[in-house]
Amino acid sequence: MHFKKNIFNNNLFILMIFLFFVFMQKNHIFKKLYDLGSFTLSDRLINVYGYCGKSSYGFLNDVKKKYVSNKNPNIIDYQIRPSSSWTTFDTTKDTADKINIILNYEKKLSLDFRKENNLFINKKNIEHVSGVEAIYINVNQPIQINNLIQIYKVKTNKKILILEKMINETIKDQLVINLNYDTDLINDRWAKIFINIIDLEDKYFEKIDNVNLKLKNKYQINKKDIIFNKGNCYYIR
Amino acid sequence: MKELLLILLQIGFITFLFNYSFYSVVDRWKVKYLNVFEIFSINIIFFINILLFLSLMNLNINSIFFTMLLISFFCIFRNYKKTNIKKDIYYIFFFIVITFLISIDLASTLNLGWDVKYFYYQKTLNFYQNNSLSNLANLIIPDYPHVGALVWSLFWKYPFNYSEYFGRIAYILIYLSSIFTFFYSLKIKHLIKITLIFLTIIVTYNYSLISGLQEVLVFSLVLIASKFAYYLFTEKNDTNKLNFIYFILLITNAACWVKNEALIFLMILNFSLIVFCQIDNQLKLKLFFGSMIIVAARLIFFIFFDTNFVDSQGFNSSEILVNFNFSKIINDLKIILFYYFVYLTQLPIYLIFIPLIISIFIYEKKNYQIKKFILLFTILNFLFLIVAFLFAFEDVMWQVRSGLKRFMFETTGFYLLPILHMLSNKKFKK
Repeated sequence: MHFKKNIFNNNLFILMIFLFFVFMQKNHIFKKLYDLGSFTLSDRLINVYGYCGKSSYGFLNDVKKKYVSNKNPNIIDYQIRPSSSWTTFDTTKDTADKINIILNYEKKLSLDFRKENNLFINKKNIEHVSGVEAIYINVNQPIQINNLIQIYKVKTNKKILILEKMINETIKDQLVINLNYDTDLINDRWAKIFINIIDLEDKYFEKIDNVNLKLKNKYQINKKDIIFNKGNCYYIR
Repeated sequence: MKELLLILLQIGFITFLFNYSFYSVVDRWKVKYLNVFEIFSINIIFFINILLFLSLMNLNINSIFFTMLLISFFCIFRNYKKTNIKKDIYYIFFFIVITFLISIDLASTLNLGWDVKYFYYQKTLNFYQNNSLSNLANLIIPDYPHVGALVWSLFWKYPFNYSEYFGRIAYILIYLSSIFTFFYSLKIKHLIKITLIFLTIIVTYNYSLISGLQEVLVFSLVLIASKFAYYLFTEKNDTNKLNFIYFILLITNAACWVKNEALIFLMILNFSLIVFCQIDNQLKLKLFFGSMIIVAARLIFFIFFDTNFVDSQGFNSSEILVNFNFSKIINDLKIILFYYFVYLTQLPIYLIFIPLIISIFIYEKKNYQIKKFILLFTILNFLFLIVAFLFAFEDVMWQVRSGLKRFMFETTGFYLLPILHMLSNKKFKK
């Protein structure tokens, strides 16, 4: 292969060099090369997948090393992401019947809603809920509500009613509606959850700042059941 | 340093195993003028197909590896020739350097994609932990294609068994070899060729390609198939044409065991070839029946796993017919089209393709069949994407946002064909 020495080739060669460094820069290759030399594989794995948090790679590996089991752990995660079981999964073993690892545990669960088109829509999705304790409605000016509140979700283009409640109250700054209602329907990884205050006039809707649900937690961790824990990650009996 | 050295050795080992696959001893399928990268790609296609065959025999990864190693040694001893790679040496060096740089990106970033954590990784683990294909039935989505996971697990375990990402280096080699294969035969200045190759890498590469997702394999296979489809339009010799048809069929078979939609993409390509490629009717029949056999084999696999394909893909056809809502269909169509055009702007190859294909149709008066071939593929591919997203999923918006770009990326390789056509065509070269 011979490269002719002419202006065209020189320009192309400069372009090539330029592209090379664009590629290096765009993909942060220099920094990554440095990381590769500075950190061990194990450090990098924990950095990427987290110790307790993200996929909790570090925590799950510690459990695997410390506590030998003939079954794969039954893992639940309070954050919505693919199950972290992949980090320590053994395809030849069954999975434990009972949940024995809880990741990113949150004792108190709540769900915030944002306003959109005369409805309130959940800001995030949530799992491991056993019911609704209360609805919190915050307003910026006092309003009178005498309407039906509906909480529902939409799945496969179908409306699934979670609960409804008639309220007749004057709200000064915050209204707390205690429900103590048991339901599994709030749990959903993808579906949008809506709160609709039926036939609420626009002028009142504008005065509502936000709506929040206080939820019941499906899992309560007893101290005596904890075998090993770091942060909000628990290995339990 | 140790890890960098291992990465280099891993690249060398995978290249060795890929390069000495069965193709080097099948004299009947030889096409004399193929270059070093085209031969490398054909060997990869053979490698994947042999791997698939062995996995369907329900062998575990250890048996598969030693069989592949034996095949490689057999090929070397049976057909050892001192290949002259002097003229290709700069390109080979460039190929290895880029492979190494992308491997550094992989080794440092490591992160697996969402779907990978969800199910591809489990498939990979299944083979890595020495289970055979039948054990997939105990894991989630057992019917989903497994060949990508098999390649990953093979090179994870062998030769170093260092980390899972060593298996993904094989994906980098397949990806880069497809791009080199596509451009290497062009008779243009070396620096222009290298620039073209590099530009293609720059506009297509990002880390997510090697995050364990299988799209990169489909992209590479479509790119290689496009190159061989192009040869079918330029080749005069019938024996060589038949060989290219065999290669395309092998690619179709490999691709449909990598991702389900890849079968449709390759079927569209094969159908477009049957319609517009000026080849003998007998060859067309071979291409047609070959494609049908591949589809049948895939369906038999679904039956073997007792899978309700319709349910597993979330395709609620009966429900759609019962609850047919015209306004919803129109609304969904709008969403799909909107995102389709948004993603067009995010995939630079499409942006290059559109003006090029228009200029070919305007300035090139001669009625080349390849123009019609490209156009038919483009239309059918577009229609497939629309239909797939319109009817297949429950929440069109969510699915389109998370999946359409990946679907579109898989066939982008095909849309480089106008560049190949223009740079090979004297009219445009002037």
